[in-house]
Amino acid sequence: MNIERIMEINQIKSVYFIGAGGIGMSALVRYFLSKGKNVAGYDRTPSELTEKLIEEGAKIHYSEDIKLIPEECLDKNSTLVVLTPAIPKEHAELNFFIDNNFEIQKRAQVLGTITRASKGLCVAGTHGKTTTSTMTAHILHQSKVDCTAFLGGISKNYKSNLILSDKSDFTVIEADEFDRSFHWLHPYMSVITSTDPDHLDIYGTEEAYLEALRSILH
Amino acid sequence: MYTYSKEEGDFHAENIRIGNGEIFIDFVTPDEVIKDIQLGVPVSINIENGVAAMALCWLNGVTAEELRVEWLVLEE
Repeated sequence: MNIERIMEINQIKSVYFIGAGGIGMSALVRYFLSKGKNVAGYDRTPSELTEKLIEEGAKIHYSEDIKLIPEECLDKNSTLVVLTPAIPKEHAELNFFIDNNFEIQKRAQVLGTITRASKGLCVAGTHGKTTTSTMTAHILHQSKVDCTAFLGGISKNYKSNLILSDKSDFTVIEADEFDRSFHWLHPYMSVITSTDPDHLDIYGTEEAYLEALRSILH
Repeated sequence: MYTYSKEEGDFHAENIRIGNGEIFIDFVTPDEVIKDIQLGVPVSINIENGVAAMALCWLNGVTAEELRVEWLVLEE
């Protein structure tokens, strides 16, 4: 994957999702649709969610076939490819994009790009991330400040894990540890909730976990 | 860098009143105390989360009046 060449939001004209129908990816699909980008992608099976995304303007297909990649997603200079971790290495569409030197990112990297293009308010830590980020998003959304938000859960009020705003510079993001997403985020401001060393499977030692948390404070 | 917690730090709650399924707090910031905020999630553990959320909002231009929103019910 090409990490040196990171595309900024305004360079991106089209976004192609390999695995579009998961709850985390669907929020990104909707975000890019709201920004007027061409959005297309593959998912293994139709679901209520993928059908809704199609209604909202995403071109999603269900068979692994590079001929089904729409023309507007064939320019590597303006197309960002977003990959779900569950996709096997042999996937034909994934290999097409790799062979043709497209920029391929996972969800955490895309959230990083979004925090570079806006004022990211990131909530990290062990306890209360979902509650804290959802409350923050709700209060901002009800105020004149407003925000876009990528939430870790579905709130009753919004029945969604995504809040969109046309006018606000702020983006609220719940930062997950499991895929080391801190590394990619560029927060304007962060909250670190109370913290236990419960992600040692990923970070190895308590000190390494705390170091990762510290990194988002800079 | 700012600190927060339920009852101490740069941002915290004081005068916590819990009863009848409701929680009211006074929200303490470095500059002002915003009185009588009702938390829409009436569970004591959420006071600390609420303080963190209000701190982020207050630091980014949300007014005292706007913090007294009808708070949301979360689906945990």
